[in-house]
Amino acid sequence: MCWVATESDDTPIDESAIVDGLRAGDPAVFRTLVADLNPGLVRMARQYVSPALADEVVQETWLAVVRSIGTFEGRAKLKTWIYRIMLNKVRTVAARESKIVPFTALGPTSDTDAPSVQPDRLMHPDLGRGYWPEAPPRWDQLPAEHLEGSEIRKRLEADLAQLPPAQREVVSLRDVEGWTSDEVCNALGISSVNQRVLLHRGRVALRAMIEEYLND
Amino acid sequence: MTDNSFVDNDLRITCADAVELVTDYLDDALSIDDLSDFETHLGLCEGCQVFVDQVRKTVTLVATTADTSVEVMPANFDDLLAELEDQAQRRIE
Repeated sequence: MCWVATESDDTPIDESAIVDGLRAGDPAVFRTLVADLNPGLVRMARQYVSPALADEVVQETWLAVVRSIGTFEGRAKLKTWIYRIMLNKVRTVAARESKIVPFTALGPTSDTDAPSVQPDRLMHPDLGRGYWPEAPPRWDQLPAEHLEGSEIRKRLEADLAQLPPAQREVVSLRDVEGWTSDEVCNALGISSVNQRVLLHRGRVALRAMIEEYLND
Repeated sequence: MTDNSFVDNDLRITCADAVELVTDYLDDALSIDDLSDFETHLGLCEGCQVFVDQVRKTVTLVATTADTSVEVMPANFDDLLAELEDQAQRRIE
């Protein structure tokens, strides 16, 4: 249950009451806000640094929130403002620690300009280049256990960690945390076009990884 | 996107172009013209229908990777509460 404005939440939530509560030092308001956002912040921070460091970064983030809520101007949503504070901190720490963080050493495994489907798969005998010769195998006709259970979840988690960082950030916020595109653009400071390009590249790379896994 | 090469058949656009539009389509972000081309193509092309289903399924599966074992509250929550009250007190003074 999310308390701060979340995706598919078209009704504007009056965040000023929350901000006023924080400024007045209301512990109940703060507790609810932290309980709502802390797990997502920790998950996001863990994409950059070790779990222990991620916890530290998020704790520092909350401290910064408490200390600077007086200067929050409400131009961004409270949630995206808090994420920006965390992302600034965690990117700095990750840059410093990059030598000891395992996955950042792997680097990008997905080319930003790569087509969504390999061109050699789109070669129709009559229509020619650019068309499916036949439909790819349907996943919904597979035995249910192929796409359920912990095995594919673990694989996908690892695949997600291997996406180029910009794609990983957008896919995590949109598809794991369930944010709207506007929220993601605000938190990451990117345009909506760029956001959709990164989301698409990330999603199709993950689709291809699932396909590969199912073919194994 | 407006640079999809128009193709002279009922499919309107190639599958190679259609698969690039899937996320924009799912986000309701296609222009009216692109949406018309995409939906016409999709209505006739089983391969692209399956591809769209697979992307939708990917999104559903990615959502299940959220690590729900993370702590709900930070370990320093009591310190944070004390700081919150301290800051509020300073604002009054």
